[in-house]
Amino acid sequence: MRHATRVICVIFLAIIVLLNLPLTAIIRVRSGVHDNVAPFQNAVSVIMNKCRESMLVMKDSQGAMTEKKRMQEQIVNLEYQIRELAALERDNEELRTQLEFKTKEKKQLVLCEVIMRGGMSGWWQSLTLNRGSGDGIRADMAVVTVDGLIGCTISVSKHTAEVLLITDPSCRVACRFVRTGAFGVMSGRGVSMNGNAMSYEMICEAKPNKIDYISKGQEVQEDDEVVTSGLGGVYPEGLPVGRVAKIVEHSSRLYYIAHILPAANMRTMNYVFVVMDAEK
Amino acid sequence: MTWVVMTFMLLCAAVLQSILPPFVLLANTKLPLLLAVVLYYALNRDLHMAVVAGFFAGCFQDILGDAPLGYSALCFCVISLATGCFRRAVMSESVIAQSVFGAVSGAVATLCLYFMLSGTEGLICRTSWVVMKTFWAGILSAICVPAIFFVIVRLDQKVGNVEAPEGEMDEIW
Repeated sequence: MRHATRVICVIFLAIIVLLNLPLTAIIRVRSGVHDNVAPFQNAVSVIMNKCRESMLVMKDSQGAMTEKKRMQEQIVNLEYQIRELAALERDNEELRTQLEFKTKEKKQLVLCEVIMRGGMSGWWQSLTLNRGSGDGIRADMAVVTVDGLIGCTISVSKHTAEVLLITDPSCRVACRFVRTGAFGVMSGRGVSMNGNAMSYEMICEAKPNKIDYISKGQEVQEDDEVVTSGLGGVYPEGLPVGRVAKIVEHSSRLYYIAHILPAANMRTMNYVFVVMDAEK
Repeated sequence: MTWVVMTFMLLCAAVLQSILPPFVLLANTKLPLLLAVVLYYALNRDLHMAVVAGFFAGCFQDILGDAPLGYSALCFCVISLATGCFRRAVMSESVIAQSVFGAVSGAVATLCLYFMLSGTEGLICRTSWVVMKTFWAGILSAICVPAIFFVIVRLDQKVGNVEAPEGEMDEIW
């Protein structure tokens, strides 16, 4: 009995120590465990992906999935190049000085596989990727899919990176309305429990995000395209974020709130891309 | 061998819990496999072993997840202590008892974590979401606790930690 009491006391002392660990120690412990568990997560994730792909291959023609995966990376790279070129054409003489800066700041995309969804307890909208600091990924880097922005890296170990999704209420993204040039800060609103959400791959049915404090002088309309503004230093400029689904007036009648439908499909994310920033 | 089985089960539960995706219809609730392992040791082993299991299960959940280190460990240790107090009063072999303890523990653990996270980490959640999450955590725990008990009992029998006649086990299940 005395032995048991002693063990319990030691455990509770250990918890107190854990609760008061300095941040650097926590990061070190987390990185170490993440790196050691990542191979197991990778293995199971690969098996699950293989099963899913096998099912698809049985439906499609032989080898189509392999080809698709190879092409996916090329398509995304090309799409972002096209977007950049289109933006350059629209810009006037004043923006040419920024154009020079932009050409220096080439975006490179790193393909990552999703190995964990929703953390361990599902309180946050997050993903864990199978690439980390060993591949050049750092915290505060934008993460995109073929369709658009999905979030940013918040913590990185050598072989894994954790991503906070834009649908999480604690995520903030500096945005710009393409048509009007108006700026705003978009925040997530969590997930919706409506809709067709029975997919196995689903992490969330994204509820439209919102941009608060749009002044009444700004003529924001439904279906306006929203991209990242580049302000704040986390997200590079021009990444597609979504489109305006609805504009509502705040109860105080002082400003508008825009509801933004994410451009990226937040339900099926097996492969994503981390946008490498040359400066970072 | 009991410690080896415990370590093995905790590792497997941690990896599985991390990989299995949450379902939005269940308020993003994950299968509480780690909690189920803790409950097994709380209802079938000495109190100190239950607390050790709770500590390591909580550490795994905190380290692999997003919560600050020690939050889940504290929750699981308190739950294992509280459950351990009922150890002699309940038939831990009964599936109903396992489910009831699973449901209550799952709900309590979710609520405790929510209050700690919202108090210190500024977790933003709607009340309805928290209620749904608590409800589904209870339901999922009630389902997965008997399954985890079954697996660990079989594993314990295989390695010789538990000496239960095969016939008796068949009657139970």
